[in-house]
Amino acid sequence: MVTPHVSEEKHHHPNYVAIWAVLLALLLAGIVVGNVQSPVLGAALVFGVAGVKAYIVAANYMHLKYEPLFVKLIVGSALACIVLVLIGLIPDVVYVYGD
Amino acid sequence: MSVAAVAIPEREKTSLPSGRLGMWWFLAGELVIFGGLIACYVLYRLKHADWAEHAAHVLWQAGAVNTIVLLTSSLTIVLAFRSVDEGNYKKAANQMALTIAIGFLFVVIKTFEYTHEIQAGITPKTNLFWSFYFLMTGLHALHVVAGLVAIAVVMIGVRKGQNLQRVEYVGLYWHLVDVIWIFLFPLLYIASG
Repeated sequence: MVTPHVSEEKHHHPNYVAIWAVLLALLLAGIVVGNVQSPVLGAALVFGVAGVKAYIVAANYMHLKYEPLFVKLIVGSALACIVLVLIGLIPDVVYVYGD
Repeated sequence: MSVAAVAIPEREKTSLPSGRLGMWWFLAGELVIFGGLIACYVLYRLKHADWAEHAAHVLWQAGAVNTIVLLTSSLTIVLAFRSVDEGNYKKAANQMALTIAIGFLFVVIKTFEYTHEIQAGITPKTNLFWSFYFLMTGLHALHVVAGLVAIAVVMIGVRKGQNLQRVEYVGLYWHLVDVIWIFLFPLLYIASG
């Protein structure tokens, strides 16, 4: 007899197919807003849509919204590191390399 | 076949299975690696308006199709996780096999893109834009290949009814690969022009 190692905890399973359809609609929206006349507005809209898509995947497919606070803190600390890298690189790119 | 579930020991402080906790820490590290690259790219892109000319040569249609491909593979792997939860291991293994097939399609399309660019004389040495392009998409493609191997290994176990909790862990990794591409696509294919 095989005894599979599986957790006894109950997982939440939202409607994954509906979420997939929403993600495809957002992909189309991202491509459309990427063609607006203003490059700055276009880039902001494109990344806004990408952020929403990433949140939907993380929250529903990765079940982040059902995870305890500790897991959210792990992800938050990684995102904070990225912001620190971005801020730390600004002087190097803008004031040294660029000119 | 009678199947008896064996509880996975959890970490006392976090109430999480050790494997899932370890996977989240691993994913956080991956997030910082790609986040750092993306931060560098965005800053240099703001400094170089001329990159729009280079970006005009990327095949955005291929990138869009690959986005659909990865989103679909994310769906199939999360459905495999649900099937495991429902105790339907054969269905889970089949959904994992489908994920591998769809993920392989991503690699094929990416290879087609690289071939098109290299035949046009574009290489990582062409300029800084293409260095970023090949570095970020190449590193991502390596993660895709690693994910395909990992899913295949876990799938073999699932067919035997073993180590079923790994479906969730390998799924988490695969979704992160998807999330990274969700940002790479607009960054390199849409907003760069």
